[in-house]
Amino acid sequence: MTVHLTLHALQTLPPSNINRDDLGTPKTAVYGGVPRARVSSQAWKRAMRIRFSASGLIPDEDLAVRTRHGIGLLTSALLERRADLDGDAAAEIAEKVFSFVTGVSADTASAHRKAAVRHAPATRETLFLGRRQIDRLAHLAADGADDISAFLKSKANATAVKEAAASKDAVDIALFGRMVATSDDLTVDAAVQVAHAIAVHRTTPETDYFSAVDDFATDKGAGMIGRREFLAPTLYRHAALTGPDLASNLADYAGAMSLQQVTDTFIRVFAESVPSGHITSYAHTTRPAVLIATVSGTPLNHVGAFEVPVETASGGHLPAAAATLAEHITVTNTAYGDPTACSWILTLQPQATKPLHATATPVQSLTELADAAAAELTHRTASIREAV
Amino acid sequence: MSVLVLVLAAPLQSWGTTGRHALRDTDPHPSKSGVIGMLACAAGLARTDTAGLAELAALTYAVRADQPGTRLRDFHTTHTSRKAMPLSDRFYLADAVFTAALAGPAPLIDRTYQAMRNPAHPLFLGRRSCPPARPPLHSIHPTATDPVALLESLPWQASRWYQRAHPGHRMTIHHDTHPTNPAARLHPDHAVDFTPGRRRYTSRAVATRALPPAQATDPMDFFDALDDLG
Repeated sequence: MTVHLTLHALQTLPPSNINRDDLGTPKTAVYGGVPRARVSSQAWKRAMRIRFSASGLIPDEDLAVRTRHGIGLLTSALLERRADLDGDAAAEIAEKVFSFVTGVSADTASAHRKAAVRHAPATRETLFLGRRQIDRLAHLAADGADDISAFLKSKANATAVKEAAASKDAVDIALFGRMVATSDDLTVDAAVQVAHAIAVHRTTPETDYFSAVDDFATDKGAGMIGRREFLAPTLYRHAALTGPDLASNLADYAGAMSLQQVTDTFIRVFAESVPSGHITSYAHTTRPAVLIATVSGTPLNHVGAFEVPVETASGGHLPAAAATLAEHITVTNTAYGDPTACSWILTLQPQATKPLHATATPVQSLTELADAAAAELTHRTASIREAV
Repeated sequence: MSVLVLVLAAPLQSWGTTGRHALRDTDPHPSKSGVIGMLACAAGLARTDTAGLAELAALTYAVRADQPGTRLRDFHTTHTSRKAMPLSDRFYLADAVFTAALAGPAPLIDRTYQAMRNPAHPLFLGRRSCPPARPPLHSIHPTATDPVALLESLPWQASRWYQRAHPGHRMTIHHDTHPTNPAARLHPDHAVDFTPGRRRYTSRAVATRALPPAQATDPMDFFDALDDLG
């Protein structure tokens, strides 16, 4: 027995290109036999991670950084503690500690040999590192800085260093997990599953032909011409968060960062984040027109509601999408659902989304929805963990 | 003996058995190790529980391609400072529907069925970002023994639009077979250990069978036919 929180959103974007492939074309996928706009889960997860910090809901020290500059960050943190060391010596110590715990080696290519942060080398791979982990490693490295190789040979020190790197007290690592190919000790299983967002209707990229005027031009020609592709989709977004999994990933916090607080924040950033690709050209920041949060034993993804693409004669995909989703939720819950499930719904267009209101308890604000769902998930998770 | 039937449908699924790191490919149909991993995920088995995994991996597996889908390449970058750098090419199967059948001892099949109803971790089709679009549990057949025979008789599960666009589609079944079967191919797809760092697979013998043209499960009515003339 376990308990999951699932989030479902219908979100309309204006002309935009928030997630593109290597040719600059918006990402798509065929579903139900027709092309659809698609936003990859990794793109939206990064937007959520940035939102954690930008919203101020989670302090920066409780977050992680995804970077190849881990050695440089560790060098800086080490120099703060040991001002007597010179930069190159500190970078060398940091590199040793770093490759000891992560198994990742520094890049020998000359461009990366002296990378941006503190002139320390970049690593070959990108790593997801908690700020507290870097801090703890710096603290240990400062103690052993006089002879770092000898320091790491002692079993007690080696264990301490490895434990420091493997601790899970970074909220985004606890949620989204971490995979480090060279070190299994650092691997954390994600507590959250994020689906690729898919348009509810047929979407084909459109081409925006543009010409730029040269303000000082002497002829009538354009300064430059170009083309850019864009889409204007109504997306179905979905994520699932497993209560006991997140609770155990937060165990290193010893209660300082609670399941309820992290779940609440996750719901908020799910609703408030949008990937920022080409944001200066499109200013596409919207919020979900409909957001549904469900706490239940059976995590259900409702994308199947849109396998047959929504078509409208009168324009606007939201009313038809809401009606289709409502029918799908009712049928799926009857066939497979958990009778003890609880749902809340927040809508920006109550007239258009009326059929959905019967499927969940209406709320007036994101705060109300996040608080109610996070409290319910926490309550049910606690009773499951007590029962074990 | 009893047989559990699952329908695996989603906008995206990805069943890699060979790709690692920068190139993450998908097989054209759900891998046995992937489906067994999903059952283990539903049952809440620890990654280190090799005995539990062995019990599941011993099930006889067959999978039918009801709607093969299309291959999709996803170009995935990661950002360091402000620069985007390529990280990996990930391949998916878009818009596919498969029917999988697993045969084994009745108590194990029953337990697996119950676990799938209330999974310990959310289910996914090969990759965590690919949740199923409908609950995969299709049916349980308490007296059946042969998953291939069962898949030969189960109705076509493809979407309505696909059945209309591909009338008489010939489905293929990829199934476990004996290594001495002259038609067998060996595929590194038998999960032995999911312990991080000790992940291990051995080979399984797979044979393929093509079925006669499928019968539409949702016959076109007169008005649908008019729509199609459109």
